[in-house]
Amino acid sequence: MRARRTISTLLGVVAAASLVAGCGDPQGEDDSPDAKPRDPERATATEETTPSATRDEPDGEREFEIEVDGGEVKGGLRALRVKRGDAVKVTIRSDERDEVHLHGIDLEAPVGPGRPAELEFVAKDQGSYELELHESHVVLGAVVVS
Amino acid sequence: MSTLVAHGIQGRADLPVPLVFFYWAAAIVLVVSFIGLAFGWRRPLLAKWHSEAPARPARRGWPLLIGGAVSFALLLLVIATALFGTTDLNRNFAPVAVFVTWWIGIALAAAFVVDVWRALHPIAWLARILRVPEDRGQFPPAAGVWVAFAGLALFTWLELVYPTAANVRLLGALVVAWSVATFAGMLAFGVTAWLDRGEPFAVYTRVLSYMAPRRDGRWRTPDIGITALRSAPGLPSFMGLLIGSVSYDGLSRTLWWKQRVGRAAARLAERGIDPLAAQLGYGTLGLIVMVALAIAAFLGAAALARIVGRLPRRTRFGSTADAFAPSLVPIAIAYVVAHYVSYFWFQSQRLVALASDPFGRGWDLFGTVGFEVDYSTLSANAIWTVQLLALVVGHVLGLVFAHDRALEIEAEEPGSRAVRSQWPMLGLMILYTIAGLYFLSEGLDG
Repeated sequence: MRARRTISTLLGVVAAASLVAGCGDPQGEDDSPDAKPRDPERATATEETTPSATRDEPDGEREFEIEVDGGEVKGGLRALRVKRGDAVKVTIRSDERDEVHLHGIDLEAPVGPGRPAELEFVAKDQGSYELELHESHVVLGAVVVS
Repeated sequence: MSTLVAHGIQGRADLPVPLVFFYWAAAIVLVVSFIGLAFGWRRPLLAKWHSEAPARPARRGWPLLIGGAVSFALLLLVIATALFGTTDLNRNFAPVAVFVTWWIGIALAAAFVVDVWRALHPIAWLARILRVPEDRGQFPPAAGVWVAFAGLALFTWLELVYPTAANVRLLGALVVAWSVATFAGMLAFGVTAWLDRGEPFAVYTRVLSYMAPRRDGRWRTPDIGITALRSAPGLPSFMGLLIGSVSYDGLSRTLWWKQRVGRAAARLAERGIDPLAAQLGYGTLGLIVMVALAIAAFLGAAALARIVGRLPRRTRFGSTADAFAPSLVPIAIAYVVAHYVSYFWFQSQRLVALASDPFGRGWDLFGTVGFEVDYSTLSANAIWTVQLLALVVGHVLGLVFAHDRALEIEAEEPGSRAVRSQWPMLGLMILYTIAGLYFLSEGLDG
């Protein structure tokens, strides 16, 4: 009885500790070492920057670009991370005619070859907002406002 | 601005739980589980705490009569707005009323207060007024809750895979079909008999209500000892459906899932397959797989529990899966809370504006048509706290019930090693809880 108790407790503590220590990220979300240093006036995020780069000032500008080729998003689906109050601009390029829709924030714009769609808005509410092509039902990513 | 959406009404989704919180919550789940195993009590307790007062027969007094009438009127309003109102899903009363306030509301009410749906069921109200008997005694016992299982499975497909909310007319037709089918079921088998075994949502809320403070006409402690779910054919699969379908919902919202489905649909589009059809196909497959996995995990754990505990195939509680089904109820409730409480809080507020203009005709009956949902009333941190707490607490309760049930079985079956039977169940619950936490986290969200 005693032995079982001790073993069970020890197993539990070991499992939990290894879970936290081995895999946990104690710094949380704001720790990308390769974030580009920012000009305080204007911050730009393109496909090369890690999407989770930190922000210094509360109200800044963020720009993102997404390219769709043959129904697939180049570079894969990303979470476009911004903070509340940021002025966000998302430019979408597609090789096929379609309509871009940003759920929740409810913005729409037509897109086509040679005609990129630009969505500009101020991120007001926390949450995750899906971005998709309306006609072909292709999901382009998500705007994540924290 | 009508858009093709799955998952009921889509718009804003919760921020995924940061990974670090996931790891801490998962760690707590493990520690608590092992401590529970190590220091669990030795004699069944919950049965003793169970209130001895028998269930009061349902009184059909005037409050329930009026409540049922209101409920029926609301049902008619949903049908009317869905069939005759605007097809713009954002300006029609029906989609929000059905997929948010009703669907999540009846679950939360049943879990935490009282089984409102059962008490105020609109079709039951109508049937009773028309003097339909309560039980004709013809519902085949072997059918168990399989009819309800099938109905609920269909509903989850309509809710999570097929963009039903976007197609307001279809929603209306489905509500009418459900109303007719429910009435027919009550006519054939009796009102209570149908509510108990056939009506998918009544069975759903009844399963969730086993811990509610008000049950059977009384205020009770949240025990599920003797008053547990009685075994019925299909009950373990029903529990698996509850957990599996919500898991699919969580999974299908992640970028990981959308990436894969998107890529696969693009490949199929090259061969001329309509992308919507492809997405529906993958969604259906995903839902079936997640539900099947949840059911298989439960049945597998139960089989292992039976072997390890040297239990007979059936005990007083039914099969081993039946015996442990009550311990999954808190986890099923936790899943609903974690996934839908913020959705319920925010999207239900849209009814304030929609009440003034339910058909989307430009009316303003109550002057509230300009009401906008304030998304700052619940911060991301608050939402994460609720989600993590719900899953951890649900897990702890599940542990407690499984442990107590194993002790009850041990008391009934002296030759067995019933206490050991809780270990595989514990493993199952750890799996469910950590998977539930993971689907809500950034882990799959890139």
